[in-house]
Amino acid sequence: MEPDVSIETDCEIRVAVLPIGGPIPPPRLRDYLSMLSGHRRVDLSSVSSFYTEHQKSPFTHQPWDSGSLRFKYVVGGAPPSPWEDFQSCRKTLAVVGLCHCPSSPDLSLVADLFAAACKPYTSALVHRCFAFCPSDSQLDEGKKVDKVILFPPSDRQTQEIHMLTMVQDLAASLLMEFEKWVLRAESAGTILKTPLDSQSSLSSEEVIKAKKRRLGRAQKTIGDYCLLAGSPVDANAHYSTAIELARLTGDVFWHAGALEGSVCALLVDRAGQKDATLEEEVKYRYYTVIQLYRRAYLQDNAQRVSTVSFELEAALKLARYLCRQELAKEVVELLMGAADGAKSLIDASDRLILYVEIARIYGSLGYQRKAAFFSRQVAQLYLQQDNSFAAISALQVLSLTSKAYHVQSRGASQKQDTLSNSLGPSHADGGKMHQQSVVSLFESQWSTLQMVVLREILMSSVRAGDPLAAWSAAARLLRSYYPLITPAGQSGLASSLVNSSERLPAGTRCADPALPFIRLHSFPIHPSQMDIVKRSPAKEEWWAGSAPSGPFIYTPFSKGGSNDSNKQELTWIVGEPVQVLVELANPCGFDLVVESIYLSVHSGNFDAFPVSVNLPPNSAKVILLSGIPTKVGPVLIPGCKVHCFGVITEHLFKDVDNLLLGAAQGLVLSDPFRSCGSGKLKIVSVPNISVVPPLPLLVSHVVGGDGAAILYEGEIRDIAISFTNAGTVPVEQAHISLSGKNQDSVISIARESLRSALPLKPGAEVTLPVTIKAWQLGMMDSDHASSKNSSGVSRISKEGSIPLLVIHYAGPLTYNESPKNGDFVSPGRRLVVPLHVCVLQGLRFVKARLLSMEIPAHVHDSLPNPIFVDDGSAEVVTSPNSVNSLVKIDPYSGSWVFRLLELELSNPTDVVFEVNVSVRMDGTNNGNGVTSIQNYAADFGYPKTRIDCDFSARVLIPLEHFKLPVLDGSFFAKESQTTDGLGSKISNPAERNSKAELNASINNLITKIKVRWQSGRNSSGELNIKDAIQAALQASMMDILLPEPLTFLFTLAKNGIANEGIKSPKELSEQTIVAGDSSIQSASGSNTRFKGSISAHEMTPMEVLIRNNTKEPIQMSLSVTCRDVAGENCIEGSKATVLWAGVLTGIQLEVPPLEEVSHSFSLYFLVPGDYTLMGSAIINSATEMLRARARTDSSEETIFCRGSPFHINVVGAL
Amino acid sequence: MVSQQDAISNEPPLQGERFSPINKTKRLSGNRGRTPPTTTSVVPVMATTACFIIVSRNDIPIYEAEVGSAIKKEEAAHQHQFILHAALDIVQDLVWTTSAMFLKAMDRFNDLVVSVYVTAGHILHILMLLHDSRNEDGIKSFFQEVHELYIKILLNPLYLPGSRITSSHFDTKVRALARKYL
Repeated sequence: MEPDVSIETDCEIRVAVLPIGGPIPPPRLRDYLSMLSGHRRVDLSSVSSFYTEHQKSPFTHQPWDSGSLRFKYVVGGAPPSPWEDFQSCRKTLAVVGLCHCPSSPDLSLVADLFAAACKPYTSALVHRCFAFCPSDSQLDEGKKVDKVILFPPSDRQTQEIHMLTMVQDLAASLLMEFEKWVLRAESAGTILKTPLDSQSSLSSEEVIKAKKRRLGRAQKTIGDYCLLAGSPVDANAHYSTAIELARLTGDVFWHAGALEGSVCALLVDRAGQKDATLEEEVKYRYYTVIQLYRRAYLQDNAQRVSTVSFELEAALKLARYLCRQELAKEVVELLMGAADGAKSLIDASDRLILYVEIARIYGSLGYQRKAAFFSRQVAQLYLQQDNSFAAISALQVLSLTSKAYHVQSRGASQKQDTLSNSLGPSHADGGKMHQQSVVSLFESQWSTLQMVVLREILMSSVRAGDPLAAWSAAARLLRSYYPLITPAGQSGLASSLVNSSERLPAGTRCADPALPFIRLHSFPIHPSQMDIVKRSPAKEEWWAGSAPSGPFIYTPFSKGGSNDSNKQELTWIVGEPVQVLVELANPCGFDLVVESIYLSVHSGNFDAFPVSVNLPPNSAKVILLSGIPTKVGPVLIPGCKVHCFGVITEHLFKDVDNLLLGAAQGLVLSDPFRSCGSGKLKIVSVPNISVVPPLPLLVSHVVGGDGAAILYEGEIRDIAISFTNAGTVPVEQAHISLSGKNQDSVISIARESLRSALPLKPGAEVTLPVTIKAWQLGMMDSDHASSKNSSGVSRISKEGSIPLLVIHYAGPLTYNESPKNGDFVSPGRRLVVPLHVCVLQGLRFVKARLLSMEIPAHVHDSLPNPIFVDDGSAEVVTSPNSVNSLVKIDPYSGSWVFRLLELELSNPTDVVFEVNVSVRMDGTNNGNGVTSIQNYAADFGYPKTRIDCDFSARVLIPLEHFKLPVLDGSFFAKESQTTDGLGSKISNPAERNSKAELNASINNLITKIKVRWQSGRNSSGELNIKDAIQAALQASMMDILLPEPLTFLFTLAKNGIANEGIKSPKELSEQTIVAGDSSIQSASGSNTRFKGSISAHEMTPMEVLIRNNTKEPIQMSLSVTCRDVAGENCIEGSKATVLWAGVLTGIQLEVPPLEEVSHSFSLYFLVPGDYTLMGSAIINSATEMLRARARTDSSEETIFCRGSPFHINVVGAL
Repeated sequence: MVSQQDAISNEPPLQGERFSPINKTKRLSGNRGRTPPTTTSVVPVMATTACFIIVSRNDIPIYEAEVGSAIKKEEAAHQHQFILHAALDIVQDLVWTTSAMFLKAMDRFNDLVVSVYVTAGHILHILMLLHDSRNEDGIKSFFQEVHELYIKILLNPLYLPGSRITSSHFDTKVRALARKYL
């Protein structure tokens, strides 16, 4: 079979082109050949000048003005075909030698060589030898050697004209030869034989038959020559005769040949025209031809020589002629039939040609898959031949198929990629893609076929000795189909990668990545020391309102000015190293050694640092790739460059992202990362990275070590933090703020010292002292601590609970040079310094109790102490009665109620604590009626309490009575309402207001109490007992703060000798009196007692002052009782020891609001000793408020109000 | 001018070749003289070759099975898939010229014939069978039943149309159908 046949092949003159003489440099040879092969068609009109008619031309109808001769140049020549008598176009009718003069100096030798080369071409009618680039000497010599035609050295154009002339001359010579041949054949007749005939036994019958056939065959051959000579009309005439003759003689084979020739003549005659009728005619004739060839086969059943190839050629010719989309069905039928014929072909190379032709026709029909299929068949046939040239051919053919099977090398498909690239990233960015478009990403993933093709490419490239192609094929195979390959196969591929890389020069690049799979893991955000903050220069607080850098992912206040707000923005700084996390996966069963991997940056302003990685089988690894931005501008990171298996490849993140997307949808075999045990990760898109000019960089460290300071709860400590400018730009602005939890534990920051140090030059350092008070451990913490208590020390430091020092700082306000970013301001930075504090459980608070102690009032015979005069409340109390009272009336209970807060503290730690209580006092607070004796106590150095490890102790905090001042009218109104509210649970704003006031007064008190502790030499702090006190006070708040509605005070009457202030425990309190503390009080009491005393056997005039603390008048029935030490009533009864004058019981009184009423009486003590006077009243028609105060529910119950007892010390008469 | 139809009618064997695979074999064996026409009947139980594939849009095979009784060789299986893949070119043209879903013997290579059943989605999903058996009715029934099975798969809300069919139940059923009909 012949390659590249078409119907018109029959009219082509075959010319062998042979290089002659010394070796011709390939580019030269290509050059010469291109000059020659440009002249495939030589018009008869141009030939005419070289043509001389020697005798009458047999080509009577030669179209001199429109016809042409066609040439088919066969470079290197071809062996003579056994069928050349059958079809003259198979004959090599001319030989052209090409000679490159510089490499073959001897022209005569060239002439000899050419003559020798022409020898095998017996059928060649014309020989020409063209010599190019002759030297001057050769030009001279050339005149003698006329066999060699020298092309004068000149430019290409001239040479082409020269060549044209030569070809035209060649054509003319051939034409004349054809004429000669035809004339001879017509006259003498020739013996024409085909391999079909040669073996026939020459029986007499056969000989006669052969003689009959001879004429028809001669006519057919003459027709062939007419066709070659460009005279289709003549040819047609001869063919018609031949067909008739062949039909008559039953020479089926020649009949077919003549018919084929006639079709060719028809087409040449109708050059260019293509109409339906012509097509029908051609089709009809060719089907007949095919049929005839088939019959020829039938006839000579026993023949070794097959005519199948002619049948197939005819089919191919027709298919090629019909090859159009509309006739696809017919062409496919023809080709399918032709492909079936392949089995009948004896010669392997015939089959090769057949498949090549089928593939070509399918290809031109647009059936790429069919073309690929037959190409692969061709490649397989090539691979059956065991030589490297065949392997190279196989490789080339296979690489043609790779496109149809979608396995082409990326290098080959780069052009297409540039188109699809623009589409690619937007897909990945979109996050969610439409399902269909996901599917389309994995178009034509017929993995079985792809694997087979790639394996064949690998095999053929190994055989062909093309290491790069082998590497690329193995890489594609391994990367795309590793799940389908056994571990042994994977290792085999790996070793073939290594083997082929050994034959490649170092540093070879390949467009197809192999392993590992690389995906972007994350861009680590700047460590808190290097945070970048956008600067708005207009504002004083330039960091405010900048990009959300806080803990919130979404901040509604950050204006998404740009449309692609979902796209992360990243800023890198010139000269500061940056890091990118990528994840590598090796899903294969062998150890993967990545010699180096680094970020591939196309924008050229980034120095990437290579890293080498070793990946064990089936493993994934996250690695840190770093680099330094070198220039201002955007940075693009499409992927990584990897040096693995001896070749450098670029791995794009996008590819892996697509792959993972496909894997997620179940379209791709498997996810390389998942199979390596790495978790699912959402696709990270490469953010917009821009590089900005250098910025200052503050680095902080804590003086004395960066470790966490270990503090006990409440401990106060100074920490010095030093800041160094490690950048290359001075810090010009800096601002400190606090964030995080427990901010209030930072007591003070020396902001001034930082401000004064500005601008901080590069390398300069400033130290900033910060005072911290360790915060209270939370409930959780303390629980945790208590559970661990048994094991000893419990240290609790939660990363989340530490306060953070946030420093916004910036360099000079430099504007970027580039005019387009005119508004660009170099950003500032934020440094977050965590104040590492580890808070330990300190003293543990167990419980708080309020203890109260009443020191009975005693009668004073002297004026009130200056203490009381100084006391604001005393002033207020004494002023209204305006009598120069000797005895101060305590407006609240009539006696000194002394309250103590008892705190029980335990020490679970392993150190000793000393606790020191102090109450801070200042004069202005007195107005609130909160009086404290303790200010004196503090002044006098209240003794410290020492608590040893694992012990507990009680600390008493003395509190002065702190009833609310009721004399203030407006306040009292609120007060009464409060009282009312408390009882009836009425809720109104005023009540709440007053409640708040109550609380405020408690808080005010509490804040004054400070419990300081000290442990060891340098840790000291304060105990936070606010809540404890509050809790302790809250329970008895009403009793503590609210006054009794009536208070009673006994005094000596004005005319009396001695006044007596009597104190009594309030409401017969059952509380235990702490002797230690009350001793002071009683001591002072006894002091007053001794100054003025009452004598027995004397009439002592006395007064009882009844004060109404409410704002409503109270009617009551008052009675006064007197009891002796034993508690016996000593006024009434048979053994009365006290006589009296005046009314003592059932005194009806009405006390106006906030007024006092006095009632006078006289007592006569018979027996010296201690007596107790007590006033009590039954309130008539009590108001709701009073009921509430008395805590009764029923309105029938009488309200009984009893005053505090007063002590009277009666001394015997002297 | 003689039309093509005339040409065909003039040459009956041609027509046979073009439209009937049965005739084709006769022609092949008879014409070439390599195998006598009786060869097919000499072997009573012939090992059948059949490769069944469901191809989704964009040439993605979503199901493939070698359902023939012939001894399975990997090389052969690959070759079968190559043939089926190549046949897609023809299917895609042919589909638009006919309303039939079952396209019998629309392509062949050597002795293997490709029959195709196009689902109603037209080019969306194509059931392809490469076979050497001549049992046309069986093939048709096979296709129809597999189509039903396939529709059941499609109705699964968890199945993304266009992705690989991994259901083992489907596989078993298809193989059972192949045994029954092919």
